[in-house]
Amino acid sequence: MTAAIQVEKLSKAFGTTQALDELDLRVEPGQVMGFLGPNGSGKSTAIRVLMGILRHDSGNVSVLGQDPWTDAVDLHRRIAYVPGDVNLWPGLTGGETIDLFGRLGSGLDPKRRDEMIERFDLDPTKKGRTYSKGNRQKVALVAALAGNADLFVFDEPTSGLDPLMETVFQNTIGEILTDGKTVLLSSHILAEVESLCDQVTIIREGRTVEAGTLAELRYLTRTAVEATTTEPITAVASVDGVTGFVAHDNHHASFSVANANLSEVMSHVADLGIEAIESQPPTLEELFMRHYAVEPANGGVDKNNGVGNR
Amino acid sequence: MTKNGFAGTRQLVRLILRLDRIKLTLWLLGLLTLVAITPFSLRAIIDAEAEKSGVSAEQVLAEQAALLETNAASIALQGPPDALDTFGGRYAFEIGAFTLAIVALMNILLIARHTRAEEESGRAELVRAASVGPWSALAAVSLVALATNLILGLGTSVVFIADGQDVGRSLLYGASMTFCGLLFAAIALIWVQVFEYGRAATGMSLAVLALAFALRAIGDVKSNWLSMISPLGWVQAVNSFGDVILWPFFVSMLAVAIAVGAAIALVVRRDVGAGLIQQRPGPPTASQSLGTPLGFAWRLQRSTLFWWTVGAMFMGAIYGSVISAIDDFIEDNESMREVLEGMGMSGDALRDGFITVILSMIALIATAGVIQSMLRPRSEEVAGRAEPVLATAISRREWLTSHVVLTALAAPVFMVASGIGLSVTDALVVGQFTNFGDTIAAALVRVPALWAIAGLGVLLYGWARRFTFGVWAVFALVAIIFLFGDLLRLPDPAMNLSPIRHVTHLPGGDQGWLSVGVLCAIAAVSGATGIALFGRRDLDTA
Ligand SMILES: Nc1ncnc2c1ncn2[C@@H]1O[C@H](COP(=O)(O)OP(=O)(O)OP(=O)(O)O)[C@@H](O)[C@H]1O
Ligand SMILES: [Mg+2]
Repeated sequence: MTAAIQVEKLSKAFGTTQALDELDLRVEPGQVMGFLGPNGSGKSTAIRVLMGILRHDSGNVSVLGQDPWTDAVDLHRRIAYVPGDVNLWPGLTGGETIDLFGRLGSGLDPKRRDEMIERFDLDPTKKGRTYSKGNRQKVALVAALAGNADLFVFDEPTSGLDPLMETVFQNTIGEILTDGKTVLLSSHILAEVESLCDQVTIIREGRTVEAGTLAELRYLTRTAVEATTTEPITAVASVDGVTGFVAHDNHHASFSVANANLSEVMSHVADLGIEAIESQPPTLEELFMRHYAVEPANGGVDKNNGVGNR
Repeated sequence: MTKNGFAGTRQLVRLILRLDRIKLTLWLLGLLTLVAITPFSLRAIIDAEAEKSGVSAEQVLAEQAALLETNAASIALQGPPDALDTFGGRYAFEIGAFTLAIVALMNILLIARHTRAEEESGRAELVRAASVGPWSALAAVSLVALATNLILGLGTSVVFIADGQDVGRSLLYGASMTFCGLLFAAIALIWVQVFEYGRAATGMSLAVLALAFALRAIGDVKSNWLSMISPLGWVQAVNSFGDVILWPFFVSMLAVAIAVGAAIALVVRRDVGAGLIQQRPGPPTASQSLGTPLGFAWRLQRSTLFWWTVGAMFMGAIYGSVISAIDDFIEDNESMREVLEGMGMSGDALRDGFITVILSMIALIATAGVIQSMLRPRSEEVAGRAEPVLATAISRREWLTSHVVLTALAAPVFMVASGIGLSVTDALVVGQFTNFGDTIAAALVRVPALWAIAGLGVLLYGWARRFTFGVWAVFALVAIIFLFGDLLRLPDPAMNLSPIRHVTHLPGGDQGWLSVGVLCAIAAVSGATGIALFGRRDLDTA
């Protein structure tokens, strides 16, 4: 089966700014792909290339098996897109805007339109100018979700939604997934990513630095351990995979363990006679911090050999 | 009114000056250059004429004054033919109502920029929150407007004094220019309180300016009271170089004071960002026509196109109402008739000449409307509203072509509307239609010039989008050639750069159809190229 989105070595420069630098991205049909990266890493740029809004300099891009630039019109009947900044026409009402996007785009099911308006608690008679940021986003979301698209491309769709609406959004995405739709979701809201996404792709400075399931990514990080042993524990510091070793006294220490080495390290500690042990799996925040903060020079794709769906 | 109401005004003034330092400098330099060129080139023209016919410069001035006093087209464009036998009076006439209208425009844009536009972008809210009083924004922009108009007035006076004019009269003339600016700044101040959008406020202020211009045009041609209810008429009534009257200054001062007072009262009655006229809810679903690219473009442009059509018809109507005055001039003036007949000119030729000038001027103004329509796609793109639309199944070509089609249709609609307005009011005055078909044909023949300018704009849009607004530079060039080309004694090749100059031979003249064809070709080729290039470039995103 061909991928819903396939991007290989995609590069795009704005003047001297290299916004995308050989980016890779692959989304399978029926998947929800989280698309993550720090500010300015190129998420929106990549999405705009996928939408045929921007041209790319080099690399291969295919969306639903077609070229997003030359087959834009055809493709757009099958894709619903919600941009990060939703700008509406001051003189058009929310309802008119929803109908406009629907008719020009992936179609509009009137019953579903009304249901979505109801669900997102939107007043469709207000003029564009008078909507708040969150309500502008809801207009775009309703237009996208009320259509018949096969692929949904969301660029930070919920950055202005309140928690109630965030839940409505997550539930609705859950529903469309049961219809076999595909979703590409760029987001800075980790809880949303965690609850919605099967897979994530993390990019930095226009390059893919990590891709895979959340479980796989977790595996790549470290677990924090605090242990008290009967035998002296200091020797553990030199075991493979242990870092950040802090000895509180001879028998009590804190350290972190690369998940790949977890069982060896643990059996080593067990040999010393465990009196007390506490371990914490990496939180999602820590997972992302690692990728967002680390210098990317040697943090590229290759280091994480064979992870994800490559 | 507590002192705190104006807290922070000084900082706001400084902010405005910093934001606007280039814009305001350019406006002032441009206007003062226009003013300064007038004595310079007029003296040269008159001296040359005097030398050729071996009389004194004063005599040439007097002869030209006699001709100008009967020239309805000049009077309608420039103002009352007062004190034309003095150099000062003649300069003031040549600078004219048109320059005053540009001064008014500068003030309207200045006020709108620093009040409504600021509020729309949300910056005003920040400014107000940072411990500035409710009236400070208003006071700051008013102070800047006051300073700008004072500099303009003083500069104008200096130009006249340097030419050797009477100091007192020069100062009076400068003051009338200052008052002209202040009056329209005050008018804009009121409208920005009433409307929620800068665009609506600017539009209403411009409508008042158009009305003021029209009223004084009729009033001046017919020498009646209509000039006296127009702010532009007031400042010209001062007649700085003839029999000076001062009451217009007092009326202006009173009007400015009332307007500023009203604006101060209104500003505390509304929320920041809101207008006195509130938004009403609209339809919850879209009408059928909104679902097509053309229907959508029409929805975005229709109100602008409608108001421009009304404006064009109105301008035509204003000038139509004074056509019959030309016949009156000739009937009343035996010697004038003889002079004209000696030159081989009939009353009909004069009438056609008048309509030619008026239709060309309306074509120039309508060009601004056509450009505004042509720029709509760019505004949509810059505002980030093109991106979601072009992410639907509407192709780039369809999207842009829809807008361009409307722009192309707008040009003939504006021109025919002005032709109809002109003919109808003339017919109302005279009792019958005169050469209706010829007038409409003359209005239409100017359309390719508008198309050519719009076509260049579309080409810029597709090819070098950051310079799309450069089409206004083309417009400025055309306007300068039209309004000041003769005065500046521009050489023919320069004059011929203006597309409008090639299609001004109707009514009554011999229009070369080659120029019409060439203009159409320029429009078609550049427009089509622009659309093709647009399909190949990145879209700017907000
Ligand atoms: N039109 C443009 N012209 C010039 N530079 C641009 C343009 N658009 C994006 N960039 C640059 O490209 C880089 C990537 O920007 P992009 O908007 O794709 O980031 P992002 O990952 O979406 O960030 P965020 O999380 O803040 O939305 C940034 O350095 C940005 O400054
Ligand atoms: Mg972004």
